[in-house]
Amino acid sequence: MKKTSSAIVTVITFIIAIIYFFPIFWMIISGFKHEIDVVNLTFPFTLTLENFKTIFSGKVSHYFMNSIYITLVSTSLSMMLGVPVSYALVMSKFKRGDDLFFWFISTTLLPPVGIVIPVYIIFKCLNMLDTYCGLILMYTAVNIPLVIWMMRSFFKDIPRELIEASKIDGATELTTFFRIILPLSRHGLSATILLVIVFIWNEFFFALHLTYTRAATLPVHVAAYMTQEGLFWAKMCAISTVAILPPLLAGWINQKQLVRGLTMGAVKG
Amino acid sequence: MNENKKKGILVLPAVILVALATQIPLIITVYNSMIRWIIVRPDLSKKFIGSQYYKKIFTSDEFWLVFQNTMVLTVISLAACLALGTLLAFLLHRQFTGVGIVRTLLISPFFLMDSVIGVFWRNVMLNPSFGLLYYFYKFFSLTPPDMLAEAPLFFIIILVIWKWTPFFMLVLLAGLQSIPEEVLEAAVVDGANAWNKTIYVILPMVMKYITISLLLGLIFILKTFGLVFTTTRGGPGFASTNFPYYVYRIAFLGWNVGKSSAIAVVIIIISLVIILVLFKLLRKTITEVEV
Repeated sequence: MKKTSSAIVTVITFIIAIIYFFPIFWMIISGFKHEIDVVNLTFPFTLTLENFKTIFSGKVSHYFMNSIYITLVSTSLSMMLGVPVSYALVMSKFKRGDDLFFWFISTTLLPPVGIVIPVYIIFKCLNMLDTYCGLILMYTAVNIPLVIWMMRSFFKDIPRELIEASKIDGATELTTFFRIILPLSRHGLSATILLVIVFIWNEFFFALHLTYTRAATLPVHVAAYMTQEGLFWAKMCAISTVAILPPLLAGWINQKQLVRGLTMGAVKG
Repeated sequence: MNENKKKGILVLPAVILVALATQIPLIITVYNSMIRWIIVRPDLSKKFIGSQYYKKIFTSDEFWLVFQNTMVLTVISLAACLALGTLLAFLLHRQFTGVGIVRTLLISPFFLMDSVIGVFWRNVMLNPSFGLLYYFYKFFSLTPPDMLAEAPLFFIIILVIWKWTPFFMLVLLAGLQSIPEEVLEAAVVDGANAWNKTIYVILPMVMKYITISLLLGLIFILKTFGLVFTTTRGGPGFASTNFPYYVYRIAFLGWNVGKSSAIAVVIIIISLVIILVLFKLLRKTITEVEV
């Protein structure tokens, strides 16, 4: 009796998961269909790579490269600037360290609409609208608090005795950091990097306001595509598939560390 | 090198960059909210007008409609995400073959970009003439509703729930998994039935996880913009405009810097108040449950 009911619950769970995932499956499949089959819902349909050939011979490769470039540079910069702060907050006695920490966190509560108008006007004056530099600057600044929040909780897990021991053994501070601290927190580092990549890759608000075409990223292109091209659903699905694949992979790989990353260390997952 | 200098080198670059990119624009926004400045009307010269925009905002019906939309969107989404997320977390908190695949499938929508979600659902899924919704209704010989026109806010709420439920599920699942097996066994030995076990043992122990999921969900859902932009564009009229999209409309469609800045300031204050209130409320529930 108990075994049957448990099996039924399992089946229900599978059905719910399949229904929940169905739109994504449908999107990816539609990217491989002919335009006519998407709209008319023909079955059976033939698969084709035509859409992907078309979109990559068009503008998509430009926006795809923009997304990759901006995401990689912004993620590296936020890590390089954020990790030292969390290290300093955890490892050395910091006067008013908590105040500094909460100041960083409070900036993430700020809705982006509160700052985008002055940023737009300043960028316009400095000729930074529609440049990689402008978007990278904003993305780095917005994601530094996230890096600090996450890495702080991972650094806190490292036993202090280990650091004391390496000091006694004569290691310099830099050696300790690169040879002891970083290897010990590698799971935390990779979780942080992957989450920041997902956030920056998907970011829409700043990208929409601060770029036009030259430095625009995939989210902006996807939004613009439908208004420009009308009913090319198969191609739109192909572009969408290309656009969602990197963050999906990052998320799937990252599953174990995800909860801790998403809750930013507030609860331990 | 002395200790202070060292800390300065570690901390200062980040502090300067974050302050430059987020704090200084914030101060400028507060200042802009008190001047009359409409970019497309150069004939009206820039002029200091104090709190006039604030008075105008609070007496306009438009603002209160947007306020109501934002509250409806936030409250319904949070409640639904919490309920669905809890259900899914309980379903996944069991041992069965393929649990990893099921979890992978369920969390996927969370990693999708808003513009893809919006464009895809608006067209391929819910378009009343060619979308899947049409074929679904045709199967039952019914006419599909045009959700964009008839229930635009509800449309956005569906997408928000689809995207954010996985987040709640993951956090609550972590909460369930943090409960030691012995505690549950002890409760059963003491004669607790399933209901009592859930209310008096499981709920207090996952309360922290519920709190954090609600708080972070609130912070992110209040910022919802891309889903509105790519589906309803806030319309018809202001029927599906929320706070961030309202500022966008006034600032980048009407080019009214002063008024949009004033709205932005009001929104920041309201958002912070809501976040603080929820935080206080949840704090209180936690202590009550613990007592």
